[in-house]
Amino acid sequence: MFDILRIAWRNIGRNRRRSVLSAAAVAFAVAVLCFSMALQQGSYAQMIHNTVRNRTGHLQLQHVDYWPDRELTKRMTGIDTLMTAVADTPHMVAAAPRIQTAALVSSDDRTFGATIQGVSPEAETMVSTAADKVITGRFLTDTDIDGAVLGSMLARNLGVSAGDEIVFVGQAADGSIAAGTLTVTGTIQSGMSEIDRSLVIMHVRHVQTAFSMPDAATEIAILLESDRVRSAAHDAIADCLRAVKAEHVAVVEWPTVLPGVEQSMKLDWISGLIMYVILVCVVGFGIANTYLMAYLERIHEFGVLLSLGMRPRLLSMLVYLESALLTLAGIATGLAAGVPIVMYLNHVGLNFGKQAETLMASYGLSAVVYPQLSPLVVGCAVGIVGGVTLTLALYPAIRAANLKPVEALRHA
Amino acid sequence: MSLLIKMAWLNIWRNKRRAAILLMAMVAGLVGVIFSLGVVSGWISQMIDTAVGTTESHVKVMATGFHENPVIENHFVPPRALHEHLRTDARVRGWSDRVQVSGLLSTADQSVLVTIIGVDPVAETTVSVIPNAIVKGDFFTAARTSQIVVGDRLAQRISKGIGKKVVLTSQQLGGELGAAALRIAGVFDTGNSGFDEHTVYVRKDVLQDMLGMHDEITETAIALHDIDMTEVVSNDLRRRVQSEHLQIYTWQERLPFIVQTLSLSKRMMAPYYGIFYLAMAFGVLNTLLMAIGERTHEIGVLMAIGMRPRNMILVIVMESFMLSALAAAIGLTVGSTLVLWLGHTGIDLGSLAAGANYFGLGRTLRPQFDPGMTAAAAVATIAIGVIFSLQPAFHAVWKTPVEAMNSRNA
Repeated sequence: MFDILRIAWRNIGRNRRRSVLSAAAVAFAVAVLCFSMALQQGSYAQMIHNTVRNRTGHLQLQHVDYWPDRELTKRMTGIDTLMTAVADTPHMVAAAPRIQTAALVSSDDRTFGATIQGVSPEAETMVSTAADKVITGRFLTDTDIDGAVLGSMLARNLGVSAGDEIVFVGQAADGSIAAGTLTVTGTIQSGMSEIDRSLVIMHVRHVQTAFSMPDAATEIAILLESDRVRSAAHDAIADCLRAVKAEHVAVVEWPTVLPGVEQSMKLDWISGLIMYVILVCVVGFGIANTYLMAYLERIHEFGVLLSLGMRPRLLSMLVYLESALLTLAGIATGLAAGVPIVMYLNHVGLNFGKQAETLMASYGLSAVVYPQLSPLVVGCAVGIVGGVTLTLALYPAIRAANLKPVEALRHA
Repeated sequence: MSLLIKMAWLNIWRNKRRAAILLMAMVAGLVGVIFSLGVVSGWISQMIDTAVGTTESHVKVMATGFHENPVIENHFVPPRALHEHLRTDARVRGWSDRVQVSGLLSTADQSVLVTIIGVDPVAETTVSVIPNAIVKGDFFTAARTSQIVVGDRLAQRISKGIGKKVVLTSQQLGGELGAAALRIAGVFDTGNSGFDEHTVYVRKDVLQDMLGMHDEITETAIALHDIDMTEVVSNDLRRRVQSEHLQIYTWQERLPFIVQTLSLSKRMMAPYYGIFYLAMAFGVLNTLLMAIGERTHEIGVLMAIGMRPRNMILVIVMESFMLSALAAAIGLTVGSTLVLWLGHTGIDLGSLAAGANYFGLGRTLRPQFDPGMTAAAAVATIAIGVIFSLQPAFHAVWKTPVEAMNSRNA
């Protein structure tokens, strides 16, 4: 076996230029795939991070029937019990109760429809980045029961700023009218106009009172150490809930809350894979010629080997090994070249420039993307390139297995 | 010359299998490029169609300030000159005067923040796809006036069907609260879940009553027969309707997002196509070097009996040119057929539809055939074939005839 390997290796060296060119093509394909898959994965990580930190949290506790109606009647109660129950779950960083609903908000002479988000200020600051987006005034504190933080455009449209009063009117959980007066403490700018035009953040206690839903919340957002531990944390929290007999509460993961984000990543990944396979086929056919030639030009020589008593199976293996070794050398070179480049870019980031910034923001990305190398990326790159090229290498090997010594010897 | 061409052609087919493999590599590359060009151009045009076809239209007239801040205070009464101009302009397919505000839609159980669009049902049909996207009921009927048409996602969320009552609330022009009770007349489905959950249509006069308006509107949406005329028509309009209270916007100005996507996708795709061509170039180089290596001896003989190096180079370049031209022809046929066929049947994005919404797509993606870019892709394939045959060609005539004849193998 070792001899066969050595012979195969030597044979590769017989036509150096051709071998180097072919291995270089394989290396090129591996490096390109590593880079662009890492770029995709890096942008997904950023999308997940932004989604989780700006909107959903990794996990949410919700009333089992909350989706898809999202009515206040389908709310969770016993919030303090729930918060305590899940507080010590492994991987959990922070949790924050929220109430999402809609209402009309008015200043002295103007009224607008608004998305109400009742939050528990200190807890919310731990889970989401809302407090970092304050542009005027300040975010709520736990004692600001009657305070409100407004989306910047909403505040402008209402003609109010920090210190002014606004009134909200909505529909309480029991169907009665919910109303109250709030003092604006600050405004925030998220960069997404529909949010900036409609968001009102107020204290969850105020929402509970005004909307007749004491000790209730529509969701508890949970931030984890990372997205990787999501399903483990999901199970642990589900166990905690069972322990406190909270049958009306379900744990949902962020892809359930915002399916679009995850599906858009899947769509991007799948369409990427299709194009990679086509690209690797182009490279593969280019290399297939090397494999085939390495076989065709030595038919006479193989005839001699077979006449001397070499088994056809061994010969076929030799031919295949040559192609395989060449491919492996290419893959190794490709990884050796690609991995450090991707690692470096992971460190410094890949800047798409000012021009792309607003557009990328709308996909939940910033203009600098950090490519992320993972076993999945390397596995896919090596798998696609190796899979296609090693399949193409089968053809000369099969031909070699069926070679007739006499005919081969007659071959010019 | 014709002899050289004949030589080149015969040379290609001396090793049929090798030529076929190189051909396949180039065809696969070209088909990949044409396919992805088709997908990208289909994606962009679908994004434009969706936005333009639902609410944006090609050209919009709005009160100054409404674009930046869509609130009811920024309203206008359409000047007579505007309607007259639109009626006489043959490039205009139709127009629709609308009132657009945000408000609350309430049922007994909940309130949802929605965009309310007040339209004249007949006029709206000439500019928007919504009247044709009705899946239940009608886009308003003649019988009742207090009707509302909602998206299917919203209908699901509030668990209400045709004939059920909802209440709309929004701020009136004077600052008071206006409300109206309406019955659901129809349900539409555009495939865009965000739009379908947060947009409702009512009759314009009903909304005007509710908001304490008379003839005031917030926009005139204008649809053209030909999207490419957008710039010209809007410039004519600007000249005709000169008022500091009115602004005229093209869809490009209203949707910078799409324009940016278009330019970014072009920039991002360029290196990506480059990689495809590089892979093809490698195949050409590898195969030609091999073919010429085998023929070193023979090339030496040809040169010894007086073939000029120039002609030798020409034969080899021609060989590559003909093969890549053949690849371009096959790739063009296969790729265009694929794109046209998929454009006809559509690619079903099924379970990933919510993700497709993020990219401005509906449930099906229809690749679009872009003749200009496709032709360019085919020409680039031939160019790659020619350019990357130069090195092997010069390499072939580098050796003196004697050296070449002495070498048995490459």
